[in-house]
Amino acid sequence: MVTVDRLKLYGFGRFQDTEFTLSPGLNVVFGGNEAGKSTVHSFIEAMLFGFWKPNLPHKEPEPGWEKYRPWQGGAYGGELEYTWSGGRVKVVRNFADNTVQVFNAEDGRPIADLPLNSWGEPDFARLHFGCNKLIFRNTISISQLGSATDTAVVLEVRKLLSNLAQSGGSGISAEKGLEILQEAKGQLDFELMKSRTLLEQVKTRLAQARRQTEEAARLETEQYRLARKLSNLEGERRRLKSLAREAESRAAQQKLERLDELRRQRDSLRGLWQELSRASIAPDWHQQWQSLQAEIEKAEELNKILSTAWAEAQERTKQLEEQIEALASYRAFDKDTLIEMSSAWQMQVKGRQLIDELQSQLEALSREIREVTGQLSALPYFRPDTLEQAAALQAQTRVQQVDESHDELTAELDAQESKLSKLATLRWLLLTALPVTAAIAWQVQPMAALLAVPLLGAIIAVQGETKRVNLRCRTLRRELYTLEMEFVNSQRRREQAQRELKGLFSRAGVGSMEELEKKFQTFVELSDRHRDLLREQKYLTEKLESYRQESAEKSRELAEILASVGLDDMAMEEALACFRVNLDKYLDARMFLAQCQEQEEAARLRARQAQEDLAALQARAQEMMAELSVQSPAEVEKLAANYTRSQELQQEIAALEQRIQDMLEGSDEDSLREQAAALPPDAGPASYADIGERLEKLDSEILALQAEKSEGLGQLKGLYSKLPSLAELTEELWQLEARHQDLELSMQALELAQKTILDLAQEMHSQLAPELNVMVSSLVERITGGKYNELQVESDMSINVLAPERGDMVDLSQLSGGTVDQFYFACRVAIADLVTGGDLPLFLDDSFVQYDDRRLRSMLSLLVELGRSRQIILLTCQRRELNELAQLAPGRYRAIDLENMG
Amino acid sequence: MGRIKVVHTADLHLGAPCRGLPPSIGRQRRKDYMQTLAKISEICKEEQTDLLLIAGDLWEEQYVTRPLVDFVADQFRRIPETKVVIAPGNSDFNHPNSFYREYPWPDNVHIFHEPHLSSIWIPHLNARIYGCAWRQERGGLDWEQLKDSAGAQVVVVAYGTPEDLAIPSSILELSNLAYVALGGAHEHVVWSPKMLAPGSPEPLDFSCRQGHGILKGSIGTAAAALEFVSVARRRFYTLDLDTDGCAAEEEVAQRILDAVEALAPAENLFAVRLAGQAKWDVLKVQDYLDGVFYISIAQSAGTGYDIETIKKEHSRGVVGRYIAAIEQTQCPAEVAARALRFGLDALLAGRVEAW
Repeated sequence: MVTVDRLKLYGFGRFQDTEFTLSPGLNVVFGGNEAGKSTVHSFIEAMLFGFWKPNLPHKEPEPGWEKYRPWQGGAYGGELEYTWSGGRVKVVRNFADNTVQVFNAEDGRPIADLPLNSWGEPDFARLHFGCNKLIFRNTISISQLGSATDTAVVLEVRKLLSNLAQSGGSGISAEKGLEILQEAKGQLDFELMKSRTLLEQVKTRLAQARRQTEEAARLETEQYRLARKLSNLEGERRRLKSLAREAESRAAQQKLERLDELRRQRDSLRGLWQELSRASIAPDWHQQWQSLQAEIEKAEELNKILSTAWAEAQERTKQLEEQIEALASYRAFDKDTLIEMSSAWQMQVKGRQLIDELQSQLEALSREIREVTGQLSALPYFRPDTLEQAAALQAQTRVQQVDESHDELTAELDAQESKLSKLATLRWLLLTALPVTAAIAWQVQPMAALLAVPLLGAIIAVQGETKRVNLRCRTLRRELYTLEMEFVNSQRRREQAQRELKGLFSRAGVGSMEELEKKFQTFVELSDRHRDLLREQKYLTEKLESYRQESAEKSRELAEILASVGLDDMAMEEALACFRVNLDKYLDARMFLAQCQEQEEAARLRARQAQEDLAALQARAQEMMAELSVQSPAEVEKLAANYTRSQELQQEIAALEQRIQDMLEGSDEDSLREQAAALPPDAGPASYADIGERLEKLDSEILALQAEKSEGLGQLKGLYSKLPSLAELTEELWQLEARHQDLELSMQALELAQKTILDLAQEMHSQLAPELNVMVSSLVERITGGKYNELQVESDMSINVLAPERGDMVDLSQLSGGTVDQFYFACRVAIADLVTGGDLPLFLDDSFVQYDDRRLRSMLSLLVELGRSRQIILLTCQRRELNELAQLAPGRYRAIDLENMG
Repeated sequence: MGRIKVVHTADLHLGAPCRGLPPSIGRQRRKDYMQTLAKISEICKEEQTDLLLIAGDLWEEQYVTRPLVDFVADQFRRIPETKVVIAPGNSDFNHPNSFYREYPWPDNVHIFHEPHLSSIWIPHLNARIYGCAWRQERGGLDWEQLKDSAGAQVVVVAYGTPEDLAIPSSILELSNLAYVALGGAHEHVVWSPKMLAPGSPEPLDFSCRQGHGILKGSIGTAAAALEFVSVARRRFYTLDLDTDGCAAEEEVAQRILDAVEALAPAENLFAVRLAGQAKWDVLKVQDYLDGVFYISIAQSAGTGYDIETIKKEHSRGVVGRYIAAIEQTQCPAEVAARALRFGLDALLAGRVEAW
């Protein structure tokens, strides 16, 4: 049995220099809230295990280390003495500097050969107490014991057993561990996926970079190849240039030969020019000669023309005189005569036509007049106002509507007569009632006489009204009579109008107003037409007579004229035509004769002038020839031709000079001679044009190659601008692969850890259950006084108990609350013993707070019983436990009152 | 026959990626390789070297670009008096489209394009240089033709080991053999006084332990007088560091800085393995490591728990049984170690950090 014997707190929480002595059995430490009960409990734990967090790979203090540091400062530590099978031990700790010393409590010597725990401290607690901090907390250190309800307690029991099965009582949950591993695996999975994705991306980029690098290398190789080809072509170009220079030498030589030839031509022409220049005339002199010759030619031509014109004018004059003589008889007539004769003839001809036309018009007119007259005679005679009269009569024949007022008057008359009738009846009644009333008044009731008054009044009123109504009726009747008389008169007038209208229609031969209107309209139109025709007939007749008279007069005049010129034996038309012609001839001849005579004279004068001019010009020409000492104009022309030729020669000479200059342009003769001299003696014939062509082709090829090279260079530049470093990408890939491999290793490790823990949990479960079964059964039997001596812990940690009253196994939850509590406590104790392997003190810290008095009493009884064989330290804030114990087990426990300590 | 001044190098691996290093450091290392080549060129210029022998793997074919080749050519152009002789290796394999074939190399560069032995004659040195490009098949080279060069000094440049190249001993015993310059070994190797490999002039990764440089000196039929000259810009260091006693990452970082202080941390690369019980937040430790060119930190494969103590403390519980089960499981050690840590973290700490 292990017992905690003494506690000394140098400084711990609220305690300072405080000492407790504990008994080996039941100890009750009482104190209210904040009295320090839990502090004492924590002190014991801290003294045994220190403040390090359990199971961490490195030292890390728990929060309690700061929490229990003395408030007022000073020493922070204490002593704990305990007894175990190996003797009595004193532990001294300084929490401030985390030092611990373990002594033999009997002789005070340090115990030196203790093994160290994971914090580097003497592992006395595990050795002597048989448990570590976690087991201490989860088994022998019990806080609130159970829960309020029985069901909750049963669940607590199962949880307890499950924890034991998984962790052996240490509180370390395999299930929790598996959850943590699973979570880590999920996160690692995600990291692997990310890593895989990154790898793929980098591999893709690397492949692309590799392709680009290879492409760049290929392009570089191509560049070198092009460079070599260019170099070859340029070599060829140099060779062709050399050939071209050779060709240039030959060309220079040829040029020089040509130059010499040109110079010879030039000199020859110069000699000829000089010769011609000596036998020539000046151009201005020649021009004068030519002008003179041109004038002579013109003058001769003019002379010829003018002579011919003069002869013709003479001939014309003669003809005209003869003509005038032949037509002397027409002397007395002129154009007017002709006009008059023509108009007279026209008049004759046209007059006849006109008369014929007028006559036929008159005949047509007469026919029409007869026709219209016939139509008119078929119609009745209509006065101009016939239609108005008919319309008036028709209006009179319209049925007169009965005046509306007649109906109104009739209706009112009927009403008044009805009223009159009623009044008469009333009056009769009233008159009848009067005597009756009097009779009654006389016979029966005198007071009835009073009725006579209103009766009389009524009679008077009725009478008045009757009079009025009568008067009204008379008035109405008079008005009605008047209206009726008017109606009768109008009716009579209507009938009269109807008769007259009928007579009118009958005379007109129509049956209706529309027919009358049509017929009347026709009559009016025909009448107007007849009047117009008569007027026209009169006019045409007068016109015809006038034409006849005029025509006769004109015929007489015409005959007289024709007789005077001897044309009276011809037909009129023919005679007139002859007269016209002859008269025209005569008049024209007379008119043109003067003109011809004038023209003749003018022509004579001009011809004489032309002859004189010509003679003068010819004299001048003779003088000029004498000056040149030539005999004929041909010789003069020859001289002039010499001059022209010399001018031409001058131009030819100038052209030759120009050609020579052009040939020498760009190169002087000396350099040409040098070039020509450079021609090798054995140079073969070569075509300069051929070399030039080849050079041109070569230049094109070179340009094309340069362009190709340039393009390739551009492509390279473009590639290099975006070419990533292949080496860096490779390094990045290697790093990612290493990391990925590392992650995969970790994944394998996680999976191995999971599987291992799972297997272990199942194994432990199957191992511990039977052992627990035995221990719990034994304890329960003891605790329940033998009532329950058999129980079964199932694989799911449920507990079945043999109920003696029933004789079969029942679930724990079917037992009473108190019994369940006992089972729970028994399980806690059994588990503690199972795990620690011995009778360790039990620390109960406010464990029964939720218990009612009955359950408390039961549990306290159990504690008293257990206190016989093991140390129990009950820390409580409730005085009822003290009171209860005082009754249950007086003197069989040790009480420590923290509130009343000094 | 006179002495010939040579510089012998190989395995520069210009442009190669650096496994295990981040791209930013890799980028700097590639610059370092180029600077080393420039340094070699400078040495040749200063020493007025007759021959610069490059025995393979000058660059990494997959990663070479024209700008890089331009740089290499420029370095060779700077030493027009030095004949640069290159025998391509397996990393700068001389395929038909290789820059070795197409690039307009300066006149002082000769490259052995073919995988069979050929030679060039250097009249002013009275030397015939034999060489070949790397071939996959072992041997098969016509070494007998070297015997035709009587009267001249014979130098051989090739990539591979003597066994790979199958150099007959009769050739190695030729009296006019001046030197055999080999490449392909990343560390300096001496097969014989006249047959050496210089190793890579720059260390390539953390497996490189020895110093790195070139062979410089003179060769001749009498003997080869070459010295190993370090030209490496940086070095790689691997350190194990015990972190027991450290309370926080800052202390761990300080311990690291103390350990590397004497090793020019601003210039070099370090791989540190942290040992001890505790597990540290490596990223937090890195944050405190200012002024170090590159340092990678790995933790030992421990769980951070005192396994034996925990086994005892939890012998009856799931934790103790778990530890025992993992220890007995048949699986790779790294998986078991991690499984142990994850399981204990889940059961004891209530949280697992699996990456």
